[in-house]
Amino acid sequence: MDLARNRWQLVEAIFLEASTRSPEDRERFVRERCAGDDELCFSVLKLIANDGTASGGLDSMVAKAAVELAAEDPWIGRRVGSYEIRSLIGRGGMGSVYRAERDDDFRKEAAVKILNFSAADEHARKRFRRERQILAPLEHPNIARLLDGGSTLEGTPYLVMEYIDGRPLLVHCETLSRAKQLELFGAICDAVQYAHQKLVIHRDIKPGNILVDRSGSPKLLDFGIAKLAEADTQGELESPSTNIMTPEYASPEQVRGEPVSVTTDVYALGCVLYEIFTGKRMHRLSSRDPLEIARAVCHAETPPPSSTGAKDLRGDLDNIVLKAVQKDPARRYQSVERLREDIGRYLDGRPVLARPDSFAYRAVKFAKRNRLSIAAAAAVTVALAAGFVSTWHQAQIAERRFNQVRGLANKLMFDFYDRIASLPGAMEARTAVVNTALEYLDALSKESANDPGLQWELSEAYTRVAQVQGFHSVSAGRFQDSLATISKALALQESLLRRGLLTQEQKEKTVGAYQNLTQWSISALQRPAAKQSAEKAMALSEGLSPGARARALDAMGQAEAAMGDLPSAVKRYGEAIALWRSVVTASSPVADTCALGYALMRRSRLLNFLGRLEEALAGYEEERRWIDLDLARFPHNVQVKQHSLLNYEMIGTLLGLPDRPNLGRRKEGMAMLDKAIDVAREQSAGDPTSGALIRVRALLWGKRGAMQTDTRLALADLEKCGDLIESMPDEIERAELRMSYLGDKAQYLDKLNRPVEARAALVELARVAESQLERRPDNPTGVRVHGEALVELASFDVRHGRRGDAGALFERGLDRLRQADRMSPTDARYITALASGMESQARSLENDPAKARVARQAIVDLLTARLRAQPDSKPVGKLLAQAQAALAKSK
Amino acid sequence: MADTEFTGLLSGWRAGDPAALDRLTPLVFDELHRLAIHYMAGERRGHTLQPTALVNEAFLKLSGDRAIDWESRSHFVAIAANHMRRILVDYARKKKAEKRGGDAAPVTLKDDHAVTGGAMAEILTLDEALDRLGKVDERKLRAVEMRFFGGMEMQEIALVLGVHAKTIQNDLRMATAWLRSELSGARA
Repeated sequence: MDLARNRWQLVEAIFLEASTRSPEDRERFVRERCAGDDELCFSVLKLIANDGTASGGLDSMVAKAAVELAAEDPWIGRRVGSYEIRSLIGRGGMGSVYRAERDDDFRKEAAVKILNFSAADEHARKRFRRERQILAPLEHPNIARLLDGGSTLEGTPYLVMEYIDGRPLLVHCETLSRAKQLELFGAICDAVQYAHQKLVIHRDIKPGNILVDRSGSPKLLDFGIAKLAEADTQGELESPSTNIMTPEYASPEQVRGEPVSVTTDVYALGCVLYEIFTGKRMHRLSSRDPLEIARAVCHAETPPPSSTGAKDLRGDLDNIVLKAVQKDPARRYQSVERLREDIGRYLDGRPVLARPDSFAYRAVKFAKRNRLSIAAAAAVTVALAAGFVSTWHQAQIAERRFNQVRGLANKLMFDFYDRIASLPGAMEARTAVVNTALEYLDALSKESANDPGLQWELSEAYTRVAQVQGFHSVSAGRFQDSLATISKALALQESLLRRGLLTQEQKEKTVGAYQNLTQWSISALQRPAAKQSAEKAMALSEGLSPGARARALDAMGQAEAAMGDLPSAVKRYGEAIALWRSVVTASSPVADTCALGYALMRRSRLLNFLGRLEEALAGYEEERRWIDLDLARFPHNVQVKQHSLLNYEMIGTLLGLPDRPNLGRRKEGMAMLDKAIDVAREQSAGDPTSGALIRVRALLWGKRGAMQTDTRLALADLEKCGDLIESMPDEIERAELRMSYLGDKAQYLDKLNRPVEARAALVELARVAESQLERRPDNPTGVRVHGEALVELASFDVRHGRRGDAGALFERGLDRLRQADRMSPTDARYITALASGMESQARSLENDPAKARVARQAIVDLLTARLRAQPDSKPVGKLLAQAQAALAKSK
Repeated sequence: MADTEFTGLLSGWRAGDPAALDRLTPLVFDELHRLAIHYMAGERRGHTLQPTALVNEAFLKLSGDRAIDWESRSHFVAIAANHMRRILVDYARKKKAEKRGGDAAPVTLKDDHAVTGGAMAEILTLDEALDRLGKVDERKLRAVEMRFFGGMEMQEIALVLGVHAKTIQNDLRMATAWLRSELSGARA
């Protein structure tokens, strides 16, 4: 270390002295001062090359890291109280709910709700605390317990609640008999009644706040939380806050801003029962317009549940629901207990108390309604509560804007995009459409929390945008865009799913979205996320249509293949294919025929790698038949053409690409690639700015070259590939492909006995690798690739008798390989590259057997030490055996 | 904690009491972390997150309304800058572990439209280079931390390290050139 320090001081002294000289004089000065010490000279010159008065990008590097930190979901990984927040469960009107774990004595799961209002001042915090103390003693088997709560240091209030592993009430009730439905509802009533005895009114009872746990018993969530929120936002007044309330389940008195009572919860329970019975909302609100809400909730006549078609509800059950949801609180059941008793009477076969409205009552109501409708809007306004009046006008303006934006986004995505989507070209126009639509959608989704219909619509639009982005992002990193968008879609859909608001058909679409998420996660190298999403698809697809199940299986297959479990993936694809075959016909939508085709392709590709070549070919050929059918039906569809191109490419690869197991039918393979190249050229002509298509064409030519038996022809193909690479718009992708191109080119030229050009290609390769490394110095693969390039160049020089610089090149290359290995010591790829580089060096020393032996001994030593550190590593064991054999041979 | 305790600790440390530093460190770290999360929570949308701004704010929070001389402030920022580095590096490590993006295999011509991707935080490379710098020249490491993670001026750094401002100027020039050459890979 002292030596290093002395050296460092020397370097510094010369550097600082040099920096006082004029720039053009510096190098001469340094060379003079360091005469005879090349290494010292090199070190100082390197510093001078990197000298500059500016910070050298260091401050922007720090700032960038900070900005990235700021973009994170702030809550995940954070502790609130004694709980650590793990993952997002969902977002709602009042805040976000996270799954959290307590990890002191024993692990206990909990749900943490971060409320999105601020309790910044001491007064607000006190009020929040007081309300929490009222809620804390609620202990009932059907009420999710409030475990803890408080405010973070920044004043954001949070609640910790029992975590319920259950499913949404309505989903659970779908399959239950009436009697079972009523029993379950009875248990819900018991819970509400218990809370009423403790003087707590729920205020926000709705199906979304009720889960059914694994034992089949219901659990009510969020007791009294609406009150907490109101207390905060509205001061001590008992007034409504419409942004929190769910209007579909809000009682007339809540809509009017009048005080709430136990009968408010009775009303909401009636709405819930209505929905349990019919699967439909009692009020279907078409907008958030306060006037529309007031009309539906306070004035429109409530149709009996049986009017939805469930005839068995006629009579007592209709009457019970209608009595619970009377608009006048005084005409409802006066307590939850009364409602509960009537349910009990019905179940016992005794007469219920609820009676249909008398004729006289209805006549009066009729007259009132008509008077209202005759009256001008002013009269309606008078009927609204004071709290509303001040805001409804503004709300109406906002509402109108909201609907306009929603219409525009939908129009862009569904009309306009569709019209240009199936046409080639217009890439830029499509991008513009997508970006504009995304802007609108993001703005909308912020305001959509209370409107399931809109949420679904938005989620579909997001999915659509994501697919568009995915289709055009063959290249790296761009998958981040489609990933981000599909995640937005799924966040909305998962929230609807949890609230039990998805229809069968919508669930199937959600499975499809998971499939997309899986695929793009894999492309973005996020394998665990891919697995997770595939698992969700599997769980959700149970009991859905064969197509939905097949999509889930396909997603699982992709995830497993990405994790390296090829045999299991092959099996999953097989199951998916069997399901698709059972439903897809010649007149099926193109999405389904393509889905079958892609499942066949993915399975065949794995079979190819596993060496099951004939099976793979049969799969590709079956896929081909479906594609030909689609082409006949939709000759101009871009997606079908893309599918066709990929299929030709895969068949060609299987027939004769030498780099992996193949059928040895090179000529036929090349003919297939020619077909793929034709399709790609045609598409590219229609869409000249698409970098993705240029890239596809480059890769096809590269593969074709690799299949040639005549090296001169191989080189000609490769040059076509090279030209295309140079016309790719993305600099990073260009550099990456250029490296592979240069490596192949050097190899071909060497074979053709053109060493000068071959060496030039290798030098260029090392240069590109280095510049890539400069861009991403922390990427071990980049370090390794640079090291390999230098070793390759050194070996080349030795082979061609240019030993002069070879030794130094080997050292630099091996330094890189060691560095890469240090960066990622447990990844066998790096130690393998290092051992192989060292072996190349040993081979270059063949004319000096003693030195070669020392070099081989060094490899054995390195691997022995590594095996000691990682005794279970098979690759290291294998490498060591090889190295020992080589060493023995050289003795 | 009371502001007076904070200022007491700060002057205790300046006077050479090592125990004061031990007690000061967690306070500074917690406050910075809290602020970082506060910013992350988006409660300050529209502000660009600048580490130096965080350090500044942490100081104001901890010192309360009391007027503290700029010498004490410089000493505070010197500690905070080191914590700021740790916070950012911890975060980058966490992200790296989550994304595993660093192992992206390069695309070759024979791949089936294979893809690569994943961004990696440069900050980790910087951190490693800083560690190496600290091994041969600790003063330069501290100067760099104070400059880039704490946003301190040369005079302030000179004061904390007890050397002349000209020395710090040279230290930073040398260290910056060295770090740049480390981060951009060996240039032959």
